[in-house]
Amino acid sequence: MTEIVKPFTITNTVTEPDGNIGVKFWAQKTTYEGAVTRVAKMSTYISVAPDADVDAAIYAFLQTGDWV
Amino acid sequence: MSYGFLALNDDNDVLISSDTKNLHFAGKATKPNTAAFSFTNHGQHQELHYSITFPNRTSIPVPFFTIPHGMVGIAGVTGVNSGSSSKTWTIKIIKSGLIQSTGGNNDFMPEVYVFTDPTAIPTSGTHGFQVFNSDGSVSFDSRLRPLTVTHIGSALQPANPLSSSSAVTLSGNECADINNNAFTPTQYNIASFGAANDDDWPRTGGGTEGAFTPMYHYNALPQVQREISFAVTSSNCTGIGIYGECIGYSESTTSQSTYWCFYRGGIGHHHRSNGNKMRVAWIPCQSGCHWVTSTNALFLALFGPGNSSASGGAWPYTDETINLTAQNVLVANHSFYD
Repeated sequence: MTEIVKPFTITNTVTEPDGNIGVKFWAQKTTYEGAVTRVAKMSTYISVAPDADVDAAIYAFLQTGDWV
Repeated sequence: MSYGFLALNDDNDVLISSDTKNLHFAGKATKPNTAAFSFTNHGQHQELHYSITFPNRTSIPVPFFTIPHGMVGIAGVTGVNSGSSSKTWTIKIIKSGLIQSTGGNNDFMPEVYVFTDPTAIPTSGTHGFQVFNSDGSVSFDSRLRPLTVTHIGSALQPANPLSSSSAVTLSGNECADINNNAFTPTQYNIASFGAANDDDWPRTGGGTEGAFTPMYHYNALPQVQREISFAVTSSNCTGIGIYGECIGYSESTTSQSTYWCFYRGGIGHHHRSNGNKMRVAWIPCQSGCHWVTSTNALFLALFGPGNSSASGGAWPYTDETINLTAQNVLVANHSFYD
């Protein structure tokens, strides 16, 4: 079975008053420039429809910001 | 003195009652020349302080505001306050968007119509119809113009003011991007008041002769906070670097910036359609950023004692909604009071 490493970590989820899922997560991106290692992290919150795939929604969000 | 009166309509709704405060038109509040507080980021914020003075003390007056055709954005009432006299009152209204102008700063500010109990309003004339309550004070006076509510609606904002379909990348370095627009609210719900085919509500591009001229009572009680945190860690290895690990002398600098915005709820016209559609959305009210940096210098980091840091707990508000429940919106026709 293939293990997929997700480029983000969900830290909290809540049910919003209108029924959507509120997802708090962070993502990380590492780049190497010679002797310098640069690690960028982002922590944010998105709302996902109750019947939607949360992981896919986060991945799509990160794609628009060039995080993955 | 005799007292007591109750008038109902066919649906048993109370029209006049001696057991309640019947609201009467007290006047239009004076517009400010400029906003008391404003900022231009995140879709803009304007806090407008209107004032009105009554000849007599009064209990809290009830304001209704208009949404002029040229007004961009949404609005809500955040406060109705008086000094110790209880005669001069300040009505605070917040709105998003510009205050557009055709010459004066307040051309497209909302108009504010104020209603209160009849004891605070001067009367003239010698005939009419009065209702007294049990303490002998006037609860209804036909010589004044009572408030006529034409529609009652319910308004509930979406829980998240921001779209989940677009990400932003702001600087993690000491709030360098504090002048951002990342928190401009994009999400809204649609609310309808009255029959869906009501033709007499304001139309896009201006009203028609005799058109219904709505004004609204809406308290901006719902609040929401959103934040986005960015951190950048730069590690510089003086020695041998192997796949991100350093053997030798390593210096690491971490900078974290958390950008945030507070919103309050508001209502506005849904300009994409005609008729009685309203947008129920968010007004940015405060925004800012907090940053922290740290620097660690380590020798033989791979094998040495290393370092550690820890943090815990929670901020009072982090991506929270407060009082987010459906709020009533009262609608009346301001042309009755012009």
